[in-house]
Amino acid sequence: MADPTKGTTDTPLLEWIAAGIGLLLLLTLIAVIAREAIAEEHKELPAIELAVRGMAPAGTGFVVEVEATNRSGGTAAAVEIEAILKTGVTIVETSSASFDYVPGHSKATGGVFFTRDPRGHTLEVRPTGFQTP
Amino acid sequence: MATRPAPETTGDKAYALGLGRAFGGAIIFALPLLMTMEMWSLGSSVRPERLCLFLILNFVILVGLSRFGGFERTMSLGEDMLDALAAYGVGILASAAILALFGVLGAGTPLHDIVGKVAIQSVPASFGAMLARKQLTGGESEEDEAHALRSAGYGGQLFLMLAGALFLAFNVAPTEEMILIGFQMSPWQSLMLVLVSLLLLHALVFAAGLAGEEQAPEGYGLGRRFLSYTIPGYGIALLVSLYVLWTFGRTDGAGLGEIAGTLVVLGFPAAVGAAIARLVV
Repeated sequence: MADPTKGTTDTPLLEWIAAGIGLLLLLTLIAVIAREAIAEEHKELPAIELAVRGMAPAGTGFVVEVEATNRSGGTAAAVEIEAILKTGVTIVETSSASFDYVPGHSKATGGVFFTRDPRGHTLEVRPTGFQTP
Repeated sequence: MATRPAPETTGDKAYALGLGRAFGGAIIFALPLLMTMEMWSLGSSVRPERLCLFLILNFVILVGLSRFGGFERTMSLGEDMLDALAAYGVGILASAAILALFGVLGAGTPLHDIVGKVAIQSVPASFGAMLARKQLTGGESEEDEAHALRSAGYGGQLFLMLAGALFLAFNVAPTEEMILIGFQMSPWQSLMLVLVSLLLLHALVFAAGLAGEEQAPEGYGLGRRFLSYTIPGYGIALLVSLYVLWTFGRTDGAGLGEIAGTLVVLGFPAAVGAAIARLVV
């Protein structure tokens, strides 16, 4: 290690800038994670909410775009969703899809396919299960 | 790759030899990623505008690497740009050839798919092509000294850290494990990993003397070294990690806490890459 008494007094401006930016990034990162650690949100059970984002003809059938939003801090993996087309109380067609991950406070999008036009029926989507990563 | 007018000190034969080494380097550096499934799918799924930006930034980094250790001794920025283009060319050809050999690219692959897959692989491959001179030769002492002189200075040190961080981060970033590890870790473990990354970066840079040791001016105490090299080095590692995650679409739709968690995971190899940049670059 060098002799500290031989110190150079002129610190280049670039060093100040680099150290400042580095420190800012580090402290921001620590603040975000520390907040998570203290809030213990990651231990919550996932709360998946599904919303239909759009419908369109696709090939010989129809596609429905579904957005999954996780309202809690707990991450869900392998999220299974089920979509049901109904006319009154009669189930016309069901379809399903799965999302690899819906992380805490995050969104994931995917879709389900139907052979019938969902626009002429009542469409219900719900999550059916998940796995803890 | 046509043989370009070479500097007086080297002839066409030397340049051809350099190109041969560049192909070797490209394959050595890109092989782990050429054999990674996620890289093939990323080639088709990555957002085109993000891929374009990445390819342009990679060119800028290649020009910088050419200054500090390209496959040919360079005299000017123009030559550095020529070498960077040559390295890109080698990277693209090597990636396309290996992907075709693996059957990832076939006659039935759509053109945009071929372009995407080759483009994303060309990044590590061109890195390898550029670094081949350093890696595949014993290193001619005079030239190495010239390069070392050019890389002297604080800005050059930071650039080398960036290149090293990008190289190591890019090697692991495409895999699903990056986000999975982030999900498995508790915030406390993430904080520990931040600490470990910082300590390892500091130890590798100074105690082991792998990078920057000869650059740290006399009289820099422990705290000063930590502030001038370790903190900016980790900052660079974090920025590079965030940029790579964004390019690969890993940040899309993710919450702040999830991004921070993944950033810490990828920041670990990136910090090691920044620290050992001198070894690789």
